[in-house]
Amino acid sequence: MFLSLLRAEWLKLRLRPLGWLLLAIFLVLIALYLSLWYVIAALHSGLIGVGEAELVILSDAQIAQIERQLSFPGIFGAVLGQINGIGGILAVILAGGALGSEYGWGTLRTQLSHAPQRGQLLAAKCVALALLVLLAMVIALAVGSAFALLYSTALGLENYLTAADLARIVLGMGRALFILAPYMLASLACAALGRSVLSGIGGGMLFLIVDIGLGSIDMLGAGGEVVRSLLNLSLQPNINALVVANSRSFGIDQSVFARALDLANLPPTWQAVLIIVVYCVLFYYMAHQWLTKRDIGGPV
Amino acid sequence: MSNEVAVVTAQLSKRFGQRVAVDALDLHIPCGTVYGLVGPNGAGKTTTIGMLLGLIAPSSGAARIFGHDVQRATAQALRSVGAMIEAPAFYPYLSAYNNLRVLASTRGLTTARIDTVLTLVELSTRKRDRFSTFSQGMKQRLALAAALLADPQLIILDEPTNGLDPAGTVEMRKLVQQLAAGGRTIVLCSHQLHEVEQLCERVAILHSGRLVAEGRIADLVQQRHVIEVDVLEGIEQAQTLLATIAWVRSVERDAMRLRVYAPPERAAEINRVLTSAGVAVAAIGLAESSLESVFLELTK
Repeated sequence: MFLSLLRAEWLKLRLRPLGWLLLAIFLVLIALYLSLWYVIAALHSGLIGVGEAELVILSDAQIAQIERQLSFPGIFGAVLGQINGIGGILAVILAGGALGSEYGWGTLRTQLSHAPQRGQLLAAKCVALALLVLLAMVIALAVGSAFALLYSTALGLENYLTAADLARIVLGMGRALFILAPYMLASLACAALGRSVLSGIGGGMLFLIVDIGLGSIDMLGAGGEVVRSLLNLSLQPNINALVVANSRSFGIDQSVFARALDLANLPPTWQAVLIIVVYCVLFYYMAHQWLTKRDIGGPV
Repeated sequence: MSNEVAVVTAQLSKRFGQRVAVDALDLHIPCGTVYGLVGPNGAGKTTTIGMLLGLIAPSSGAARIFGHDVQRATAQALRSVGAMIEAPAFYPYLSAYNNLRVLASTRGLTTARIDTVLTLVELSTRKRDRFSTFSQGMKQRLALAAALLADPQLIILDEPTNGLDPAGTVEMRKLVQQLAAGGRTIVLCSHQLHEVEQLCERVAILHSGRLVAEGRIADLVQQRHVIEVDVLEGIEQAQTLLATIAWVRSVERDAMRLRVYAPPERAAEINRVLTSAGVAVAAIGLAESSLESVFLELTK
């Protein structure tokens, strides 16, 4: 039964224009991001001339990092980093829309009159969303790779790719999906609570903003050790720990851009995984309760 | 599966806060009948259907479909049920065919029956068109196709002719008759009393959440015949006198005519009572009764 529901959810998500629109937006942003890095690297190397003036925007170490992001295998770390950055916002929209619009269109009622296992329906929706996000990651990594080939050749950068790198891509995609999961589940829970797209996306975004805000306080190092320990229970520092770990596995060191992204300043991996799992379980439980225990349709 | 009763509700009730939407409803819907569920707006018809489909949890009481408790064994109870609830709700970006594919997958069915049901509701030529481009009539027909997807033994139709033009209404009624001829049980919820009278054998009349009448339509109409008495002199006395008789349900006055709600076989007795009391009776006879007059009497 679960597989049948998964097939139904996959069909709905795959054919929904919203998902592809969000992916298109993400790919444009990836293209802009990589092109900007390319321009900076090209200016630094003198490939693009600025006359007699010497343009010093970033340090050599930072430029080296940018060049790594524009070549293999660093491009994978760069794209996965963006998936967990701007991609998080898009994933919240996707998840909130996926459940919220079912209430708005009344299709949840239609579907539940055919298959009343609401818990299984939620699980199938989550798996279908995860599959779509993974598909989007593959496409984004492919597009990023095309840009990397183009720009690394133009910049004369060395590319290499080992079998271990390919295995790391799979691990990195799993890690990136795990990082997105709590935000997507928060969005689903909000959609089930408010029974609308607006509450799903609005609630998910609000949580994202508050969480990033708490993470920023942590990154600024304000408040001392006690406050820091408490803030480390929020998602952002733990997510940053895994994002940095993902980048590091492809040879990218984000700490040259922001010292707070040094692994030494972030929670250990075991804590990051544990905290994210706790948030995921909490949000999934909330979505499950609100979807399964409440009436669909209400008084008429 | 019971061969005798398709739907049984026992003291089925639903409260929304202080408001009682359905109050201790007892229904027995025999297999193979076309059963009408009628009542004014807010009578509790759609809430009852919601409870039968497991979409709305009863506050108390129980509903069983083909012997399975809807609350405890929802999947088994709804396995042979197809429903068309209120306004047709489908994914606007999907075609008619893909909308039915989603529902077929949801039920764990193959796509084999999709073309059959689309042909049955005469939508096969538009099956690749998106739902959002459909007229109201086509949407209603798609909803009926969805209800028939699993070849159900019990079909619940909530206002199936809502928004249809006269030709569409006639077509829909023909379809319902066709389905009923195949031995299926049909629960028809409608405001159109002449439609219910035309299609249904039995009817339940709901008013303010309570069951006010239930039975074969012919019996209900027969029992609710109105005896009309034209009085030449002493109409006030006649009205007062008749109102005291135990088997007279009510008496209404319209100028010099009394409408007496009483068993039709009592007409001669009414005449005798009035003449012996000195009331000058000009004429006495049975007025034509219909489901509409019964409905209006019971729900005023």
